[in-house]
Amino acid sequence: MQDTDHIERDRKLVHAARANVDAFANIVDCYEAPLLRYILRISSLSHAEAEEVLQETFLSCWKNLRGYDQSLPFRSWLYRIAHNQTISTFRKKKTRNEEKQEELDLELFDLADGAEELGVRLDRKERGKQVYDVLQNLKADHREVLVLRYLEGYDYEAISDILRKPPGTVATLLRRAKKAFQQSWKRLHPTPTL
Amino acid sequence: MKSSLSSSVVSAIKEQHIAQHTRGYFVLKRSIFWILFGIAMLLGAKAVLLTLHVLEAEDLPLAMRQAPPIIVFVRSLPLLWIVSFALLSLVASWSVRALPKGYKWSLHKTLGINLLASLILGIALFAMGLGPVISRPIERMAPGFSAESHRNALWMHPEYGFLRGRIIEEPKEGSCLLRDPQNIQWLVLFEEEDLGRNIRIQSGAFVRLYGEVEEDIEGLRVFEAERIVPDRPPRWLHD
Repeated sequence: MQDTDHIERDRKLVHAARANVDAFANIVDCYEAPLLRYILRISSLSHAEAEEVLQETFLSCWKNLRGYDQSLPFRSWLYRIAHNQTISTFRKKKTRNEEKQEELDLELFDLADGAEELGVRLDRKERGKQVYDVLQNLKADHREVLVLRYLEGYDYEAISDILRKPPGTVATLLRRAKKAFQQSWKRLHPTPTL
Repeated sequence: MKSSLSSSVVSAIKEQHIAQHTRGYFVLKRSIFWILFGIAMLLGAKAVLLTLHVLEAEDLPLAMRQAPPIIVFVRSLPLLWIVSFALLSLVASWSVRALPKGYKWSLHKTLGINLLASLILGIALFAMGLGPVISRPIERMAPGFSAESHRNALWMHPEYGFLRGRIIEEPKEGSCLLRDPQNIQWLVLFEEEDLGRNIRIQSGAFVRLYGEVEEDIEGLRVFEAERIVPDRPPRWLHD
């Protein structure tokens, strides 16, 4: 679906949900899966905890729906709420969860040196876990920006809206995050060519 | 088909009667930040105005010709107003960034713009002659922060060569008697060429002096003036 289609669809969903709580279910249905994935990616919450955060996200979205600024893509606004809820919950828990995601994304893997060689040797799941481990070792703001850019596929403008940071700051943060990812990868996997 | 999450979210909303915030709530929330921004800007401009008023009252550029020691210089600065100005500019910047889309501006950019705006507004108010009007209530409530107090902090340091006071006796043969704000009498020695422009050394005149303290003569403190300039009549010497 094109971005403009998304925007038009979201505009209609929001318009309907503002007037009718049952119509709000459509928003939940549309964004449940991507938001849950996003919450898991930027935190080390368990699946159950992430679902709690997701529910809180949608309840917060419902309460603040009339304050949604139409000049901002709804998707970015919703991700911002999810982001804030996740950070807030994550800070409260302060515990690192051992139950890690099984299916992890590999787009970031290309950032690491020797990725192709490793890719030949390791299975997809193992590589996913490695990427996940590296991500979890990064500072929260580095992890968030990498997830949004490479795993969620957002552009700088949208990341700026979600993280509430100027686009220039996002660009700088992303550059540093990539560097930190590469360094962390090398530290955790000192022999890329096994 | 509705997912279990959407059903549970909608049920929670209905069962717990979770209402949407009204549009007015969001308008009020945004207004608070705009108001905070406005107040911080105006108070920042006021801090600039008071800073300029104090610097004008203590004639800092004049004192700098004699270069006061750093400790005297720092004490003479209206640090309260300078710090207030900086803090209020920070508050104004934070308010702007809390507004919708305000985060698009970097802190240094909003801070720079707010500092500049408060500075321009403060200078404009100062140029309109509002310094004494604005500072009067502060002088009443907190004399320690008044322009007069700062003037003393800079000019009442005979040990560093700065003195101010009122001439209490007609001068004769290059000397006159002066009473300083602490009610200490000084014998001031001077040469005619030490006098600044537009000054007449006569009884009742308020003056500031550069120079140095000399040995006491018959229990009277002595100050040898290198330069004497007029001073404004201060409140402390109103008989």
